[in-house]
Amino acid sequence: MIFSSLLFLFRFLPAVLLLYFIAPRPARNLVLLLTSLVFYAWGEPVYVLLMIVSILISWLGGLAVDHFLTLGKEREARFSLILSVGLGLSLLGFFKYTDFFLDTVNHLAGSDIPLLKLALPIGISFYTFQTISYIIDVYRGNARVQKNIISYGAYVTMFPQLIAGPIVQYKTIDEQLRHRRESAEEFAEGIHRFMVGLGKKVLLANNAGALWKTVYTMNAANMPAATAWLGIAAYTFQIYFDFSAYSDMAIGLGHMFGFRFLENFDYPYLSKSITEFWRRWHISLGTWFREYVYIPLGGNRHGRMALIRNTMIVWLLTGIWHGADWNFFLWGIYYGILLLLEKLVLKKYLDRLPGWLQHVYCMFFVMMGWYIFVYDQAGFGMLKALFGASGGGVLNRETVYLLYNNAVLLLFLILGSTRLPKKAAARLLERAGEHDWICIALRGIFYGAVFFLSTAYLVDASYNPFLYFRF
Amino acid sequence: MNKKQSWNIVTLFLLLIFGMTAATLLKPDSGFSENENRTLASRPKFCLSSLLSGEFSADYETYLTDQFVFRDQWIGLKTWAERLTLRQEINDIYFAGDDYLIEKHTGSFETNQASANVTLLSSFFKKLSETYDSGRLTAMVVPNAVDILKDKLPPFASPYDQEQYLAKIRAALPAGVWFDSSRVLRGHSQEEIYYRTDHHWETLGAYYVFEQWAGEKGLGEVRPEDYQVTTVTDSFEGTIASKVGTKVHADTIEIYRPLEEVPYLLTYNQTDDVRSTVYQPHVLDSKDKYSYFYGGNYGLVEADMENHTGRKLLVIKDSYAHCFVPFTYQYFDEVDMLDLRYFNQSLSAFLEERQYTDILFLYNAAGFAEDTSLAKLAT
Repeated sequence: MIFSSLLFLFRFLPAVLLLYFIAPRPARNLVLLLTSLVFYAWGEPVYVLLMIVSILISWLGGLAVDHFLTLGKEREARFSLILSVGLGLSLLGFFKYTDFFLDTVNHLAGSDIPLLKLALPIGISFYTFQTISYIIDVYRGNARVQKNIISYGAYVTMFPQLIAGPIVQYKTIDEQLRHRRESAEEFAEGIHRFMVGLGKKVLLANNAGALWKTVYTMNAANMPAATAWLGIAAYTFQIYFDFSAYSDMAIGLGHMFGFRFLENFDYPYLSKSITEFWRRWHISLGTWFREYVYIPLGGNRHGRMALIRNTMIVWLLTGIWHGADWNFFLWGIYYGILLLLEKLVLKKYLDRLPGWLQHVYCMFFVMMGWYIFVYDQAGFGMLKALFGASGGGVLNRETVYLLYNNAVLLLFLILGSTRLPKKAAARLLERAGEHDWICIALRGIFYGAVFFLSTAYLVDASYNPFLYFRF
Repeated sequence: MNKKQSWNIVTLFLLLIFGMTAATLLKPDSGFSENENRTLASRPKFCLSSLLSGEFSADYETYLTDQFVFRDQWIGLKTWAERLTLRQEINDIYFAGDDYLIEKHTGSFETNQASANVTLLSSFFKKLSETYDSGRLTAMVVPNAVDILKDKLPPFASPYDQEQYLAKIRAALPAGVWFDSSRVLRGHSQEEIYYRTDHHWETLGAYYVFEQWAGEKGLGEVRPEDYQVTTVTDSFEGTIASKVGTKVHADTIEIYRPLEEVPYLLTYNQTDDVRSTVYQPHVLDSKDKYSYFYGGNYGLVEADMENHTGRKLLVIKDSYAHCFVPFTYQYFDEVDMLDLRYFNQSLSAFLEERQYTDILFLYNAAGFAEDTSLAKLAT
């Protein structure tokens, strides 16, 4: 099930809210667990079993690690850690990477091993990373063990963050799982984030996606450069507004139930370098790789060669985390190289450039990155078009038509990528100050508009894709 | 947000979510959408196998969307919002000049179906031309509004050029069979030859094409003054209007009746459903007013006249023919109208049995490209 659907808004969400707040406090984790299983099973009726297996493995792993640690049996604790993490990774590897591996072998060796053709279980990369972080943190003593399977199950399956992140580390919500206080203030904050997310997804991301689809379904053979750039720009906006909208909605829903998830996006398109971009984009994934891969490998403490090796390992993994295909592999390497270049060579030169030029530099490479990322839709022809080598010239009637039809949308997308809307809203509310009813009216109008417009787009069954089915 | 504000926002939110949920639950299901002219999805039956295959969830979501309370108003709201952002097209429909809504037909002509249909039509006519003189055969694929009313399209709009596709059909046909309706319609592109809110052409467009075709086929001179033009409704909101959901400029439906009309008898689907007129006034109270012609699509509508010309015409058609075919009744002893989508006999046996002297194939371009029943031409 996805948040941006009539089913979620007018069936699932009211049902969960009702059950959750009727239930006495001690039963609320159980309500979350059960409703989350329904949420997942709605779209993945069979794979819900896989998720349950994954939960049991990691829960038992955590118990074992904790048990041996308290007994001082370091070796056994380590063994339990490796076993349970290994099993979790094997499930991920099997369901996500087997066909990719077989296909590659077939290509290289000319063999004909039949592929498994398994559909990828939605969210498996997200929840596997959560379970791994839990076991490792218990082993490291950074997180308390969770002996209650219901609370632990609620943590892994929690529907707000289940299918598109953020990757919530257990230690960040351990306290909230044990005793949290839902309140009107928290709930209202949750409504704010949810509405912002809903609007970003349904009104902005989907429309940007529709523009991208218009461009990539055109014949790339004689596409003018401006059309190709407009297309890549549309995708650049689509993926940001879509992905960050999911995080907004997740954080918002979390608030409604008294949870505080960490932020996942921090205006990434305002960045002035690739290094900065990755500090602001999908923060929970970057943090995860740093804590559980990069630093354990030694980080940058063992000289330049180790730094290069570790960075490339992390980015190669980051790449294929996003999908089992060569373009994601390449996309990871691309960022690994860019980040190393910045760190080792470019940094001092970049800093001397005027701000706007740093920004142009950053966005150019980010957009080229998205081109690699979305290669299966863009195709090679679009690369030629982007650099004016398609024979389609600079622009044509179609380009002009697309531009003026989407001018208002693009304006919203550009503004929405900056802090301006947030600042403007804050100033407006500040002015209203003590006048509660003005604040309520302002908020009510905004939430109502987003809510009604989003419903209208959903009822008309407008373009509403789910982008993370390969993650 | 302080406590007071928070409580108010929470109350508002809960009212919205639960209010709308209640409204969607209380609204009785409707079977047919008159506005969209289609059957809406009904509540899917629950069973374990459909749940496990994911079919139930998909069907339930379609059901929820189709039966959503105030469905038409929501669609109107979306259109309104899109127009506000200066969008010139919504759901592949251009908001064109003079209040025309014009379908774009993106992608219709570049499918395998579209090229397969050209081949099917070509073999059909190649076979016919073994027994018929090319003067007695006509293939007419009428371009859609988007191709003829180019002046009215929003600036810089560049939809697919249907002429490319029509040229492909023409090239595949035996010589002398193709009738170029584009050229005729293009000459009248400033007149009311297509509906503003519907995907059909107007009777006036059909008249101009008939005039030219009758001349070329030697049926005799056709003059406008020999017809009486009557407006039968001025509140026609057609199929395109439904996709948009906002207020539109309603169309008028006109009919052309010869001043000296020969009487005819219509036999529907070879049954005892016999009528003495093409025109079905009772549909004017409903949404689907184009059905004023013949009452809709039927597999076979036979018309018998006493003209004593010795000519029998078969029209293989889609609904574009409905305002065209009545013109032919003055010039043939028999005119049969065959709709392949609803016709389930062997066509070659049917042709053998009926011994027509003339054959007209009449479709609109997008309808032809998208049609999935043209394989029946080879039966």
